[in-house]
Amino acid sequence: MIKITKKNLFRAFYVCLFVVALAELFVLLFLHPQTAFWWEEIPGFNALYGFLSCAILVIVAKALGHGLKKEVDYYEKIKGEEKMGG
Amino acid sequence: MIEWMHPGFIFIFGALLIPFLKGEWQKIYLLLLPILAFLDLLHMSTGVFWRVPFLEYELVLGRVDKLSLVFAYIFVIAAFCMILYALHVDRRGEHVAAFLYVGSALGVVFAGDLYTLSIFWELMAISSIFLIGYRGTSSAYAAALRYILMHIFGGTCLFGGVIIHVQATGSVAFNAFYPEYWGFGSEYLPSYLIFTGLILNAAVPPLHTWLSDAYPEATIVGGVFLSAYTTKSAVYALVRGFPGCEILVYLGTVMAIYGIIFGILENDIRRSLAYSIINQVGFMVAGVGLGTFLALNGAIAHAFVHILYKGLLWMAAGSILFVTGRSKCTELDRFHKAMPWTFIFFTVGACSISGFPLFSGFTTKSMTFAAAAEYYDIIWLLLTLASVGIFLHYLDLFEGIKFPYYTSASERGHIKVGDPPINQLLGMGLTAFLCILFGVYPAPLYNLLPYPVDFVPYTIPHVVSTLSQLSFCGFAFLLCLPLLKRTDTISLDTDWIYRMGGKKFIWFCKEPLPNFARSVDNGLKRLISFFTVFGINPVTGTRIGVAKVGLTLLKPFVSGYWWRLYRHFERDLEEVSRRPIEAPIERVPLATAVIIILVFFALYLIVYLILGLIR
Repeated sequence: MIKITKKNLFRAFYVCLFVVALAELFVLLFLHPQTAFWWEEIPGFNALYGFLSCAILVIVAKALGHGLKKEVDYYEKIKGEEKMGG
Repeated sequence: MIEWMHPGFIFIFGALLIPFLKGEWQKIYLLLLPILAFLDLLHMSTGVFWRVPFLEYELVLGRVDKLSLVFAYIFVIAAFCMILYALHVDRRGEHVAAFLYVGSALGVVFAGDLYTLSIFWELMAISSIFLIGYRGTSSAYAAALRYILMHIFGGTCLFGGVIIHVQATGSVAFNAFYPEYWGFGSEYLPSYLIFTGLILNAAVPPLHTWLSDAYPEATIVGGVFLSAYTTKSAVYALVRGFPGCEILVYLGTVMAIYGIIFGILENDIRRSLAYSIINQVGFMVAGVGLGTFLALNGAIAHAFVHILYKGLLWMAAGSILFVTGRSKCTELDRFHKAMPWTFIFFTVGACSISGFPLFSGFTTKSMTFAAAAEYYDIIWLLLTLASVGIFLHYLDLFEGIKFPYYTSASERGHIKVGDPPINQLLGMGLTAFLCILFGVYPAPLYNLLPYPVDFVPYTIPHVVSTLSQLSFCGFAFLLCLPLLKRTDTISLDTDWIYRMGGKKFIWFCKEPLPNFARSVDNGLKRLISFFTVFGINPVTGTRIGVAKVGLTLLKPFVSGYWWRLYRHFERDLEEVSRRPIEAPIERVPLATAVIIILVFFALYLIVYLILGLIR
């Protein structure tokens, strides 16, 4: 029996990725689904778009995080300064 | 004739009895009310009921059609699940607030006229602050205060718009404002105001911060209730009032992406879930904006299942908080081993919201997407991006609370705990069951929708494309993991404007404003004292005035030996200026007086000559 370890889980995930990519190709080539846009007829569009979406969002979030992330007591600290001043 | 009881009133008046019941009786009673309301809903026929004359208008408390019924059904079903989850709470006030809140949300859904809508709208805002305030922490009070200020603003916009609209049209009926009362120009002001009030409650950026600010500060049970009603009743009102209003498509798309990005940045689980509400409501708002039957059905169906799975996620996050007392990712670790059932329910909620096939998000969200594909290409791409992003968000959240990738267990505070009380588990179990039910078998939900549905979610291309997007999103997530480290921080949002602005305003009122007032005050006092002296003794007064001005002007140039002389003069002057009131009045010689008067005449003449020349 195959043990559930992190390594095996990752292997299973990569197999799934492969199967899904093949399935998408199969659907496009043999089932000829109705598509609304031209880009949906690119082979592997959904896989690529899923990948890109994730990457774009992570990068944008990371970039925004540099400016927007503040320490937990950010608002309280300003209150404290005000008390000292007043 | 009153054929049925208003289900909102079952909750509102039912809530009044809660404080008088104790122990098991109270629990039975709490569960009985939503069941009663549900039976009431089942026997309801469509039509207009409960007309109440008010001034020269007629208020309609019960407009029953398919649109209001579908929202009422889910409100009551969700209320039952949430009350089951909340049974362990002893504080009766919290139950009362929750019941009033649910009741007023039902009131909004059945409101047939604008006045009734506004009244229940306000009642909803007022009852919900108790759900936040009962947390008892100072940050909860502060957040509740900011929450109610925002809602007062929204409610005032709505009510102001309603009043102007009623004055302009003479009708109180709550029907579609778009396209009849929509366009550019001041005559559409009431529509703009009502629109602002509605999108504030739908948490459209930049008016969304009440949600991400206050919901995470709410009580454990309060957060669960809040996640369902305010935003979804706003979606209902938008479906009723502004279907097909194009700007909503863009606002909804912005919301969907905004919620994801801020959700990823956030460390607190419940705040992350709050941003996830914004993302989800974004899909609904976009659906309302598209305005086709398919899109409206999609928005409504999505609101329906969203209440369930988002409630489930809030319940699970609430249970983690209940058991461990923590809700920050950086403080939690390996909770799947400590709380296996909570973990399973959280996973069901996450799968549903990500739109995995066989879970409820899949069968509903895709309707909005299919509708978007008919008209907008960029919007479709962006919405798909946001939809894939949810999966990323929840993978990230899982990673944040579960896998100790970056820090060892000892660094993160190891907690030995078990699953929460049985009623919480039952509440989550029932909600999770419904999430999966509507995912596997969506037909009963489709039958409830107001417009006919010919949408088939389970086609091979649809399932494969969804799985493909999600699994490759997961792959990208694994590659991006090093970038997604959770930090113990908060993220600034548009509430910075009023939180910082408020502080700066208070500082301004405390520091520069009184200083300015004091200096004006002192100046006036000096002027008055001068005139007092002058009035009694003009000659000495003038001398003192001239001497004072002269001394002040001279001051910077005085040094060395002259300084002593200067001090002497100054002291002398002070003495003199204190004296003149008692001193005998010096008579001004008549000639001097005549000369002064002549000088005034001459000045008068010159001024008028100059004015005359200018003209």
